[in-house]
Amino acid sequence: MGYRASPRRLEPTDAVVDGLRRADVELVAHLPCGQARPLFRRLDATFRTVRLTREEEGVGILAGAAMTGTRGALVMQSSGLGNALNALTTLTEAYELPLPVIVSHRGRADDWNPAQVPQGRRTRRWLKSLDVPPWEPGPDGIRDAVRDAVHEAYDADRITAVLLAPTLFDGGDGA
Amino acid sequence: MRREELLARLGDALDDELLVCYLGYPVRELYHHADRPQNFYMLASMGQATSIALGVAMTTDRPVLGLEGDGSFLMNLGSVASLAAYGPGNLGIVLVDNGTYAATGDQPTLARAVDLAGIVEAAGLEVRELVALDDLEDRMAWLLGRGCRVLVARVAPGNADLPFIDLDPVEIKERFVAEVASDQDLVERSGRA
Repeated sequence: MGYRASPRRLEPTDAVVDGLRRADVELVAHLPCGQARPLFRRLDATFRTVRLTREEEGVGILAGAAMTGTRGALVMQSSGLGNALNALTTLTEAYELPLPVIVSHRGRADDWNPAQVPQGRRTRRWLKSLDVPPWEPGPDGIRDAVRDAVHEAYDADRITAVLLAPTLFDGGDGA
Repeated sequence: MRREELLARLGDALDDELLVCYLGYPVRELYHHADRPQNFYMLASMGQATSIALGVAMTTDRPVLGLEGDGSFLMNLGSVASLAAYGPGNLGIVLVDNGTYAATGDQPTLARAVDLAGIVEAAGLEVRELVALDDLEDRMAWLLGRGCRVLVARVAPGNADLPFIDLDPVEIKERFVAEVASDQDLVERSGRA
């Protein structure tokens, strides 16, 4: 007999890019995560991008862009959150600027690199302590979470975050 | 030359350039001598002046000046690569080198352990030095010419006895954003967009 085909699921890379596009993002600042390599290649192919030397400077660059009315997003690994904390709080938050952050989550308990764990296991807590409770979409929810996080950042002049679990990007390895 | 003199003179030389000013006493001095809505004053996030200025300059056609100090520049030294890679022609960086952390008591930075102008030049950026205050106008014209350029100005340590500015971060942002937006409206209405 017939069967009901599941709706076409977007690959995570397509979903992130589609979500950013739907929210009219023009400028993406990023520092790559080995777990999500295809995503970073696709970002460079799709948007005007800035490859960062450090995640913190992405916060500054996107603050400047936000003030000229240019929609941006910061895409990075969760280890970059620690590198960005001062600018996130004393620039983006203090000046009430919009900043959506797409974070690929390292250092969960099953991470192959134990050194990532001290920050990885606190990432969710740190985001919540910044009053930035993250979206944590499952495989079917990535696009809408990214789109919604961007809209919320620009509607409310605040930092928003989408935390992407490593299992969403199967096949990733390396740093 | 003293930093306060430099900033006052800079204020006189400005037209409608957008300006990002690094934190500390320079904010107080610039505000006192040359406050204008085109000034974005950083009150914290040390090291981010070049990054903020880069983000502004990459997303507008207007001339943009980033004022940065030696201590904060060293804190975000990777930004020299970002300037080299992405710095647009409408961006000029003024590196105000007093060799100290002024706001915390003039403790020395490591600016004298390196050659900051040399570092910037090694990154492939055009650099000039400002030695005499009377050369400022010429240097500014050069700074905002073709290419992302850097002007290094050595100044003596020392801070003006001025109070903290009475604009809060959100006021600074709103004023700056309104200034950028008003110019964009003008461009669009005139049909030049």
